[in-house]
Amino acid sequence: MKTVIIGYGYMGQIRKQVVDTMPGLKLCGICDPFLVPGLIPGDCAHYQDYRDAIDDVRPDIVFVCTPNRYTPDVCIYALEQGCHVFCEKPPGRNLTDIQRIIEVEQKHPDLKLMFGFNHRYHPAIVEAKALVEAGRLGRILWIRGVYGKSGGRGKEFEASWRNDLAISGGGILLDQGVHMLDLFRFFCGEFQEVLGLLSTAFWNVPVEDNAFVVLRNDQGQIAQLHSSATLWKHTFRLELGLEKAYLIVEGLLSKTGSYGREKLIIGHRPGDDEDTALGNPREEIVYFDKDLSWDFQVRELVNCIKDSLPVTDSSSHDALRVMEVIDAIYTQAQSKGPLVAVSIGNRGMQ
Amino acid sequence: MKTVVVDRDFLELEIKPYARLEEYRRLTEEDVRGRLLTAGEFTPCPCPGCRSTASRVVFEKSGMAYLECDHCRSVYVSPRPPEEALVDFYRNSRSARFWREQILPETKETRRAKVFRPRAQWVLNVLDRYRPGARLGIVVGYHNGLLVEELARQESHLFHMIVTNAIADIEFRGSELPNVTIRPTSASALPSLGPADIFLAFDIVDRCADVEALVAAAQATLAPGGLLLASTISISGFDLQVLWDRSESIYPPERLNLLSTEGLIALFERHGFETLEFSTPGVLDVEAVQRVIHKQPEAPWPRFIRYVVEKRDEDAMNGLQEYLQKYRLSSFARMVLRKPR
Repeated sequence: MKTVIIGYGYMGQIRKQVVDTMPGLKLCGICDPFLVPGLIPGDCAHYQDYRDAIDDVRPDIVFVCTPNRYTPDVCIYALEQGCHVFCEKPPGRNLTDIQRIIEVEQKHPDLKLMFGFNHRYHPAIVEAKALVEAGRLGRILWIRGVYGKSGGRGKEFEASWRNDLAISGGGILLDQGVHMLDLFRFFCGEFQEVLGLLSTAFWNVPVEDNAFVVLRNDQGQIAQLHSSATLWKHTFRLELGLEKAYLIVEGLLSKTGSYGREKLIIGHRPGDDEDTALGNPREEIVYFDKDLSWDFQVRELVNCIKDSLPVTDSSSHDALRVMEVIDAIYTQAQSKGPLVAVSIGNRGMQ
Repeated sequence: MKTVVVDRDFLELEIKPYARLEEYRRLTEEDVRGRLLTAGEFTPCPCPGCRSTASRVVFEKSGMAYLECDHCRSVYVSPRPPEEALVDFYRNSRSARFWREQILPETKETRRAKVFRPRAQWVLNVLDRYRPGARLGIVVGYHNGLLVEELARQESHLFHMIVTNAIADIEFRGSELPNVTIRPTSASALPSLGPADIFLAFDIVDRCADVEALVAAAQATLAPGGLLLASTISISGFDLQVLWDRSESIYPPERLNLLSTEGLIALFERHGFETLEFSTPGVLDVEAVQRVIHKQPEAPWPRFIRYVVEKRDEDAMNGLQEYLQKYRLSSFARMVLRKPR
């Protein structure tokens, strides 16, 4: 299958590595109006305009790795030209952007559209999901996540397009918190109520650098997120409390390794006949060596295309639902009234 | 590949009462010399890990020579007794009976809670992750009664298990577990019991006369995508490297094969297995070193090791043990291996 990558920044380069190593995929074009000379690959055509890239190559799959502002237009154009689309998260700047994409997707039911919620495919998450699904640990009672960055060198961080409201549409919640919100849904299903607080606590940026979010669903499961650009240490920690155990995913295998070695902690609630010291149960810590999340997710898309299967994971539905949560939080942040939980779900498209 | 670290929540003493263990070792030594060394022809063998024949004798125990492989650094007994002689030893020797009738009953509940309950949990977690819906399990190796009981207790809809070791009829006498069949079976006949979803080979690689035949049998018995779960003592671990021939864990016939990490990987890769997990979740290395150094203070121990175990507190000992687990340097190794689909 012929592919093109639109947007050749950090994510575009990761996608190239995936395409280059995946049997059956061939990278035929890269589009980026700001290609860095030293980074231009010599094995495919280069374009300045995404429409030229798609018209010229006529690819089977378009990888959309652009800043958020351009995401919907590129996705829509690719779909209209008959291409399958793999789009990085977030799916645009706001709820309207993903709604626009879905409108076009619905006109092309044979085309596959997947979004880059790759955290679902990280090894510790996959392992945790399998343990939860097996049911042996009981029902999920609550879920809690912390996901944050150091912010890095201040000037670079403040100047990033990710903190330019017109381009990104939001701050750390939209950029990084979106992954954790997607994982909450991945484990617990839909949430019906959301309460969010945002602050721009430190950085000189027009978007939030901290978000605190609480969600609740019809099963009474409560989720809590702290998404932050002021943790000063790259941090990923997802905790799940279940009836018979707890699971903690900490660290995240990444290109730089800056989030620490990815691990899953499994602790069992002591049985009534066990003499384990109260409050200090036996734990198993599973360390993982290899992140194949990028490959697994693209392979999933390729399989959907080859076998004419619907995209059921990281689909436009998943993207819509998570953007509904974020939209509700941003709407709350703009209101001057008292803080009240708002209902979400089916606010977007049916 | 992943690796697993566990808390240390028991002392060796709890599962191996020292006075009883001394007696067990004395009986074992007598049985080896009086029974095993005269039981049939001993056969030389290549390294059970990498199959190299380049090796040298590094020490001797109870009249048996331990060789170290020049290639993968595994340590193994060669020449070695035939499998039939080992089966006779485990069925009829005084030391084996002493283990079954004295030590195991005394430590049964501690072993259940500290060793076999977590092991059963781990087996079930592995199945949930890699082979949900498993229907048939094959159990090889000795002393698996508590594991099988715990599996049955923790999972009401457990897969059918066939326990195959040569003394299973003795070990499971009077025990009636649903969905468990006792069928002593030689390695060569194991494939006829398959195709199995899971093959449990705990604490058998180290004491098996023919590891090659065992792993080949596991391969042939498993269905495509089936899992081999194995545990063994490994010579790459901290206590065995430090104590070497002074280790109380190295004695025949239970420790015929002390494969190194490299030897273990070579063994399973040679038979086409994919390694999903390689962990060394042992909790007793530091305690074992501490105990032997205390018993033999005059031996030429590495100064740093002696200093740490003599002068540092329990927290430091636990931290060291956790480090060994995290970097796969404990002598208790366990693996999850998958037969290709």
